[in-house]
Amino acid sequence: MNFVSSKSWPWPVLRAGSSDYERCEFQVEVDAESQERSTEVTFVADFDLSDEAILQLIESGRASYAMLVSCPSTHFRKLIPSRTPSIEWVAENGLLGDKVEVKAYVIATETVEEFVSRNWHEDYEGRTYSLSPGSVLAMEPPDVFWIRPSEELTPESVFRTSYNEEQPPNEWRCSISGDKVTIVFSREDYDRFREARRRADVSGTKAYIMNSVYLPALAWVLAEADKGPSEDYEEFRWYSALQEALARCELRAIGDGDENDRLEDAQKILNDPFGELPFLAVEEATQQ
Amino acid sequence: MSVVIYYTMEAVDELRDGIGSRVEWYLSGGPEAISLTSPRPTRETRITMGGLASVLKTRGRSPGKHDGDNALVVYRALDQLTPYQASDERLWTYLAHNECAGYIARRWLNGGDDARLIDRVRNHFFVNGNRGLIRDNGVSRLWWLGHIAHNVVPEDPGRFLQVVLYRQDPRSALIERPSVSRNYRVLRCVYNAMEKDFRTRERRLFERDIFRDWMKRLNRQGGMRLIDALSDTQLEGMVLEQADKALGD
Repeated sequence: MNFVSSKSWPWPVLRAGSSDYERCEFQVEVDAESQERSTEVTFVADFDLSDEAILQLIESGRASYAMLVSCPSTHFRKLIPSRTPSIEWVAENGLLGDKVEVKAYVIATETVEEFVSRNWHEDYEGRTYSLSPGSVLAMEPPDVFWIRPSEELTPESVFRTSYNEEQPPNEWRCSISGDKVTIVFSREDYDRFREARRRADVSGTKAYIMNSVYLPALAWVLAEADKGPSEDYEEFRWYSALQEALARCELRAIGDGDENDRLEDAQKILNDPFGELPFLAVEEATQQ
Repeated sequence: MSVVIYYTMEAVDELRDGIGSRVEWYLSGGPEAISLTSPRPTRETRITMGGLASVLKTRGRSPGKHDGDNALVVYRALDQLTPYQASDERLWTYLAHNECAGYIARRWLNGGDDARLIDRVRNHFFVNGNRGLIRDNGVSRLWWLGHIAHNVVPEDPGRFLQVVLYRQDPRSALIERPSVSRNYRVLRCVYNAMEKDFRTRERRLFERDIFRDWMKRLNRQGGMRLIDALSDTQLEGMVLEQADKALGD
């Protein structure tokens, strides 16, 4: 069940962007704390609900707070219900990875006859509703977390290389329509690039590759992905890896705002790789 | 027992880029190890695993009929993997190009349209996204089938696979679509109803139109209610009620 604020429900549902309820609120703060070098995560959801009618249902055991945790990569889904407005749940190492979505609800757990709230919009005046178990009474937009044991973003986790006979020599391009961003070269350039990358660790030329290919590629990918819509990309691994890297550097998420300087962001994500180049130049000059 | 080995990402990319030049190798089921130019293309883990090559079955005209047995074999051989490890394409690409290459070639490359051969190699020897992990890669799909079976019906995963894999429609709807397959409690209730029906001569719930109508009705229920919040009794009752409606009883 996706959060769509404009969705029509057969009964009033307390949620952001809807006028079903007035003069009351439902807010949930969800936090996720990961263990270093592990995918063990502790989720904590703190609920703030002020509608008396829904609070009474929870009090009488006919409704509950609930946190739904789901993870496409590991095929995981679990609902954690609670009678108290704070839920803590620990996902053991290995259960979750990459994109994890947490949704917060208040749900009817038993049949509720003639439900009514005095906070309903006046359009509902004089009405009551009969709710069956599982009916949503309040919901929040989902929180998304990116879970990975590693702290680093490596080019290998986002990019792959390929060649195309029609690609002109000395030019390369990126494709973002797959699980990884594909950097497409001409056949000859592809072989040259792979050879250069293979030697990079030994010869200390990694920073040149980072600055000349991966940095501009990353800036382009971020700018292109910003154009959205996000549904086109969010199942891809490059997307989750970049969202996680942006969050770690406290930069705007993909699609969030339209005045992002993605060239600057790409440099931050890659730990300012230009700073590595002068040292190499000095070393080379010294060796000559 | 051996240990789980996986490719580096560079090795996976090299293999993916070289599919066209290795068609014969794939068709003949990987008679010898592929030599890669990537330095140190593999990594060893500390996870132990049982042998697979000699126990995966493909005999007969419909090799897919062995999927249930093969799923149990793969899952048990690799039962130390966590779901996160089992979502890693480097691991499945390694197994597909080494121990399980012969099995995948016999299961997926025999016959069919030659023009789509490269697509079939790409789908079944590699992993393309979450869907590819569950549905296409020749080995990972078996592990995930086994994983789902062991989680949904831990007391008899073999029976679960026998029932769910009996027809293509239930398999596609229950395993390959995440809306149901990720929800093990719903899957358990659907399985209970199907298992009971499986024991009858007619097996009406397995008829294409009836099964699809049943799934549509369950999806509709999930549109307005969070069915995860139902108790076991409520969930069982709802699933059976929708089955009865689909059967027109």
